[in-house]
Amino acid sequence: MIKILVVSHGEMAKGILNSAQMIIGKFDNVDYLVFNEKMGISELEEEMNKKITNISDEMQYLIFTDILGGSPFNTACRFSFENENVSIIYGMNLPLLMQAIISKEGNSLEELVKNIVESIPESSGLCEI
Amino acid sequence: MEIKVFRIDDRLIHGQIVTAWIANAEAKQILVADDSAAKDSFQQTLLKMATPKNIELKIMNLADAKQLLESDETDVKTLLLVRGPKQALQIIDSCKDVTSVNVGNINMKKGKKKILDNCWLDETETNDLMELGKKVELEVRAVPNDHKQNLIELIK
Repeated sequence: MIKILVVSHGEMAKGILNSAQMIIGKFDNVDYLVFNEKMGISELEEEMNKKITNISDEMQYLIFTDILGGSPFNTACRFSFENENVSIIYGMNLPLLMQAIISKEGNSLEELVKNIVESIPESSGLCEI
Repeated sequence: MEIKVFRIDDRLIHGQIVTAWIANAEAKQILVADDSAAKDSFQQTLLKMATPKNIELKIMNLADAKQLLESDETDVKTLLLVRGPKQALQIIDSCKDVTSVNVGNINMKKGKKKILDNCWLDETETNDLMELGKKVELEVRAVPNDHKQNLIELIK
Protein backbone atom coordinates (compact mmCIF):
# COMPACT_ATOMS: atom_id res chain seq x y z
CA MET A 1 0.00 0.00 0.00
CA ILE A 2 1.13 3.54 -0.76
CA LYS A 3 0.05 6.32 1.56
CA ILE A 4 0.28 9.94 0.53
CA LEU A 5 1.11 12.70 3.00
CA VAL A 6 0.90 16.36 1.99
CA VAL A 7 2.87 18.86 4.11
CA SER A 8 3.10 22.62 3.74
CA HIS A 9 3.87 25.97 5.30
CA GLY A 10 0.42 27.15 6.40
CA GLU A 11 -2.87 25.76 5.12
CA MET A 12 -1.87 24.86 1.57
CA ALA A 13 -1.75 21.13 2.38
CA LYS A 14 -5.31 21.16 3.69
CA GLY A 15 -6.51 23.38 0.87
CA ILE A 16 -4.95 21.41 -1.95
CA LEU A 17 -6.66 18.22 -0.77
CA ASN A 18 -9.95 20.08 -0.67
CA SER A 19 -9.33 21.19 -4.27
CA ALA A 20 -8.37 17.67 -5.33
CA GLN A 21 -11.52 16.24 -3.83
CA MET A 22 -13.64 18.74 -5.75
CA ILE A 23 -12.16 17.44 -8.99
CA ILE A 24 -11.64 13.71 -8.45
CA GLY A 25 -13.99 12.93 -5.56
CA LYS A 26 -13.27 11.19 -2.27
CA PHE A 27 -10.08 9.22 -1.76
CA ASP A 28 -8.40 7.08 0.91
CA ASN A 29 -4.90 6.84 2.35
CA VAL A 30 -4.18 10.50 1.80
CA ASP A 31 -3.44 12.72 4.78
CA TYR A 32 -2.07 16.22 5.36
CA LEU A 33 0.01 18.12 7.89
CA VAL A 34 0.01 21.89 8.30
CA PHE A 35 3.15 23.57 9.62
CA ASN A 36 2.19 26.95 11.07
CA GLU A 37 4.15 29.87 12.49
CA LYS A 38 3.42 28.82 16.06
CA MET A 39 5.03 25.41 15.66
CA GLY A 40 8.67 24.67 16.31
CA ILE A 41 10.68 22.24 14.30
CA SER A 42 10.50 19.57 17.03
CA GLU A 43 6.71 19.77 17.05
CA LEU A 44 6.65 19.37 13.27
CA GLU A 45 8.83 16.30 13.62
CA GLU A 46 6.56 14.85 16.33
CA GLU A 47 3.46 15.40 14.18
CA MET A 48 5.15 13.83 11.18
CA ASN A 49 6.15 10.85 13.32
CA LYS A 50 2.48 10.27 14.07
CA LYS A 51 1.55 10.36 10.37
CA ILE A 52 4.36 8.20 9.05
CA THR A 53 4.22 4.86 10.81
CA ASN A 54 5.10 1.24 10.09
CA ILE A 55 7.19 1.99 7.04
CA SER A 56 7.88 -1.23 5.14
CA ASP A 57 7.80 -2.72 1.64
CA GLU A 58 4.06 -3.17 2.22
CA MET A 59 3.52 0.32 3.64
CA GLN A 60 5.21 2.92 1.49
CA TYR A 61 4.86 6.68 1.70
CA LEU A 62 4.87 9.40 -0.89
CA ILE A 63 5.26 12.82 0.72
CA PHE A 64 4.41 16.01 -1.16
CA THR A 65 5.94 19.23 0.18
CA ASP A 66 5.64 22.82 -0.97
CA ILE A 67 9.21 24.07 -1.42
CA LEU A 68 12.67 22.59 -1.63
CA GLY A 69 14.64 23.37 1.51
CA GLY A 70 11.65 24.44 3.61
CA SER A 71 11.08 22.91 7.05
CA PRO A 72 8.32 20.52 5.84
CA PHE A 73 10.75 19.25 3.20
CA ASN A 74 13.75 19.14 5.55
CA THR A 75 11.79 17.24 8.19
CA ALA A 76 10.36 14.80 5.64
CA CYS A 77 13.92 14.05 4.53
CA ARG A 78 14.56 12.45 7.92
CA PHE A 79 12.14 9.71 6.88
CA SER A 80 13.32 9.21 3.33
CA PHE A 81 17.06 9.26 4.04
CA GLU A 82 18.42 5.87 2.99
CA ASN A 83 14.89 4.49 2.95
CA GLU A 84 13.43 3.32 -0.36
CA ASN A 85 9.95 3.10 1.07
CA VAL A 86 9.58 6.85 1.51
CA SER A 87 9.83 9.34 -1.37
CA ILE A 88 9.42 13.10 -1.42
CA ILE A 89 8.23 15.37 -4.21
CA TYR A 90 8.81 19.09 -3.55
CA GLY A 91 7.18 21.99 -5.37
CA MET A 92 3.85 20.15 -5.31
CA ASN A 93 0.95 21.28 -7.41
CA LEU A 94 -2.60 20.09 -7.96
CA PRO A 95 -2.08 18.16 -11.24
CA LEU A 96 0.81 16.15 -9.77
CA LEU A 97 -1.00 15.47 -6.54
CA MET A 98 -4.15 14.28 -8.31
CA GLN A 99 -2.14 12.06 -10.60
CA ALA A 100 -0.50 10.46 -7.57
CA ILE A 101 -3.82 9.93 -5.81
CA ILE A 102 -5.45 8.38 -8.87
CA SER A 103 -2.56 6.10 -9.78
CA LYS A 104 -1.22 5.00 -6.40
CA GLU A 105 -3.21 1.73 -6.34
CA GLY A 106 -1.49 -1.16 -8.02
CA ASN A 107 1.77 0.70 -8.59
CA SER A 108 5.00 0.34 -6.66
CA LEU A 109 6.32 3.52 -5.08
CA GLU A 110 9.22 3.45 -7.50
CA GLU A 111 6.92 3.33 -10.56
CA LEU A 112 4.55 5.91 -9.15
CA VAL A 113 7.36 8.37 -8.46
CA LYS A 114 8.88 7.81 -11.89
CA ASN A 115 5.56 8.63 -13.56
CA ILE A 116 5.01 11.71 -11.43
CA VAL A 117 8.47 13.06 -12.13
CA GLU A 118 7.88 12.61 -15.86
CA SER A 119 4.76 14.73 -15.55
CA ILE A 120 6.42 17.64 -13.79
CA PRO A 121 7.21 19.70 -16.94
CA GLU A 122 3.62 19.47 -18.17
CA SER A 123 2.05 20.27 -14.83
CA SER A 124 2.76 23.98 -14.98
CA GLY A 125 3.43 26.40 -17.82
CA LEU A 126 2.48 29.47 -19.82
CA CYS A 127 -0.78 29.42 -21.75
CA GLU A 128 0.08 30.19 -25.35
CA ILE A 129 -3.28 31.26 -26.71
CA MET B 1 33.86 38.05 3.80
CA GLU B 2 31.27 40.65 4.52
CA ILE B 3 28.67 39.42 7.01
CA LYS B 4 25.48 41.04 5.71
CA VAL B 5 23.19 39.15 8.05
CA PHE B 6 24.08 37.24 11.21
CA ARG B 7 21.10 35.10 12.20
CA ILE B 8 20.25 32.78 15.08
CA ASP B 9 17.93 30.06 13.81
CA ASP B 10 17.48 26.54 15.15
CA ARG B 11 16.30 25.42 11.70
CA LEU B 12 19.50 26.65 10.02
CA ILE B 13 18.64 26.71 6.28
CA HIS B 14 14.88 26.50 5.61
CA GLY B 15 12.04 28.27 3.77
CA GLN B 16 12.46 31.72 5.30
CA ILE B 17 16.17 31.64 4.54
CA VAL B 18 15.99 30.42 0.95
CA THR B 19 13.14 32.69 -0.08
CA ALA B 20 13.63 35.88 1.94
CA TRP B 21 16.90 36.23 3.82
CA ILE B 22 19.32 35.38 1.01
CA ALA B 23 17.75 38.11 -1.11
CA ASN B 24 17.64 40.57 1.77
CA ALA B 25 21.31 39.97 2.52
CA GLU B 26 22.20 39.99 -1.21
CA ALA B 27 24.23 36.98 -0.09
CA LYS B 28 26.46 35.02 -2.42
CA GLN B 29 27.45 32.67 0.36
CA ILE B 30 25.97 31.01 3.43
CA LEU B 31 28.23 30.11 6.31
CA VAL B 32 26.67 27.62 8.71
CA ALA B 33 28.75 27.63 11.88
CA ASP B 34 27.60 24.58 13.78
CA ASP B 35 29.44 21.79 15.57
CA SER B 36 26.65 19.28 15.09
CA ALA B 37 26.16 19.90 11.34
CA ALA B 38 29.93 19.90 10.77
CA LYS B 39 30.16 16.25 11.84
CA ASP B 40 26.86 14.87 10.57
CA SER B 41 26.67 13.86 6.92
CA PHE B 42 22.87 13.70 6.90
CA GLN B 43 22.57 17.30 8.08
CA GLN B 44 25.15 18.35 5.52
CA THR B 45 23.27 16.63 2.70
CA LEU B 46 20.10 18.40 3.79
CA LEU B 47 21.78 21.80 4.03
CA LYS B 48 23.28 21.34 0.56
CA MET B 49 19.92 20.35 -0.90
CA ALA B 50 18.22 23.34 0.68
CA THR B 51 20.78 25.86 -0.58
CA PRO B 52 19.93 27.52 -3.93
CA LYS B 53 22.31 26.52 -6.71
CA ASN B 54 23.82 29.98 -7.17
CA ILE B 55 24.79 30.27 -3.50
CA GLU B 56 28.06 28.97 -2.07
CA LEU B 57 27.62 26.94 1.12
CA LYS B 58 30.22 26.53 3.84
CA ILE B 59 29.53 24.27 6.83
CA MET B 60 32.10 24.52 9.62
CA ASN B 61 32.40 23.83 13.29
CA LEU B 62 32.53 26.93 15.48
CA ALA B 63 36.29 26.84 16.00
CA ASP B 64 37.01 26.64 12.26
CA ALA B 65 34.40 29.29 11.50
CA LYS B 66 35.98 31.65 14.04
CA GLN B 67 39.37 31.12 12.46
CA LEU B 68 37.98 31.78 8.99
CA LEU B 69 36.11 34.89 10.10
CA GLU B 70 39.24 36.28 11.69
CA SER B 71 41.58 35.57 8.79
CA ASP B 72 39.35 36.00 5.72
CA GLU B 73 39.91 39.19 3.77
CA THR B 74 37.57 38.69 0.80
CA ASP B 75 34.43 40.80 0.43
CA VAL B 76 31.96 38.02 -0.39
CA LYS B 77 28.54 38.95 0.92
CA THR B 78 27.64 36.29 3.45
CA LEU B 79 24.69 35.12 5.49
CA LEU B 80 26.00 33.68 8.75
CA LEU B 81 23.79 31.13 10.50
CA VAL B 82 24.13 29.69 13.98
CA ARG B 83 21.73 27.36 15.76
CA GLY B 84 21.26 29.15 19.08
CA PRO B 85 22.27 31.93 21.49
CA LYS B 86 25.16 29.90 22.92
CA GLN B 87 26.77 29.49 19.50
CA ALA B 88 26.17 33.16 18.66
CA LEU B 89 27.92 34.21 21.83
CA GLN B 90 30.84 31.90 21.06
CA ILE B 91 31.41 33.38 17.63
CA ILE B 92 30.42 37.05 17.93
CA ASP B 93 33.88 38.34 18.86
CA SER B 94 35.24 36.98 15.59
CA CYS B 95 32.71 39.06 13.63
CA LYS B 96 34.35 42.46 13.86
CA ASP B 97 31.93 44.44 11.73
CA VAL B 98 28.69 42.94 12.97
CA THR B 99 26.66 45.41 15.03
CA SER B 100 23.30 43.66 14.91
CA VAL B 101 22.22 40.03 15.20
CA ASN B 102 18.90 38.83 13.82
CA VAL B 103 17.00 36.39 16.04
CA GLY B 104 14.90 34.05 13.92
CA ASN B 105 13.56 30.82 15.33
CA ILE B 106 14.34 29.60 18.82
CA ASN B 107 11.41 27.42 19.66
CA MET B 108 11.88 24.11 21.32
CA LYS B 109 8.90 24.60 23.55
CA LYS B 110 9.10 22.25 26.51
CA GLY B 111 9.47 24.16 29.78
CA LYS B 112 10.41 27.39 28.08
CA LYS B 113 9.14 30.93 28.34
CA LYS B 114 7.39 32.33 25.30
CA ILE B 115 8.75 35.69 24.17
CA LEU B 116 7.14 35.59 20.72
CA ASP B 117 5.69 32.78 18.55
CA ASN B 118 9.10 32.11 17.03
CA CYS B 119 11.12 32.76 20.18
CA TRP B 120 10.95 30.57 23.30
CA LEU B 121 13.76 30.85 25.84
CA ASP B 122 15.06 28.85 28.76
CA GLU B 123 17.23 30.41 31.46
CA THR B 124 20.58 29.62 29.83
CA GLU B 125 19.45 31.02 26.50
CA THR B 126 18.14 34.16 28.20
CA ASN B 127 21.45 34.69 29.98
CA ASP B 128 23.43 34.10 26.79
CA LEU B 129 21.24 36.58 24.92
CA MET B 130 21.57 39.20 27.68
CA GLU B 131 25.34 38.79 27.41
CA LEU B 132 25.18 39.00 23.60
CA GLY B 133 22.96 42.08 23.92
CA LYS B 134 25.82 43.92 25.62
CA LYS B 135 27.87 43.54 22.46
CA VAL B 136 25.37 43.98 19.59
CA GLU B 137 21.78 44.94 18.86
CA LEU B 138 19.47 41.90 18.98
CA GLU B 139 16.47 42.19 16.71
CA VAL B 140 13.76 39.53 16.43
CA ARG B 141 12.27 38.99 12.99
CA ALA B 142 11.22 35.73 11.35
CA VAL B 143 11.36 37.30 7.88
CA PRO B 144 12.83 40.62 6.66
CA ASN B 145 9.41 42.22 6.14
CA ASP B 146 8.41 41.71 9.77
CA HIS B 147 8.64 44.64 12.13
CA LYS B 148 11.96 44.59 14.04
CA GLN B 149 11.62 44.09 17.79
CA ASN B 150 14.40 44.58 20.27
CA LEU B 151 14.85 41.26 22.06
CA ILE B 152 16.41 42.70 25.21
CA GLU B 153 13.36 44.95 25.68
CA LEU B 154 11.08 41.93 25.18
CA ILE B 155 12.98 39.84 27.72
CA LYS B 156 12.76 42.60 30.33
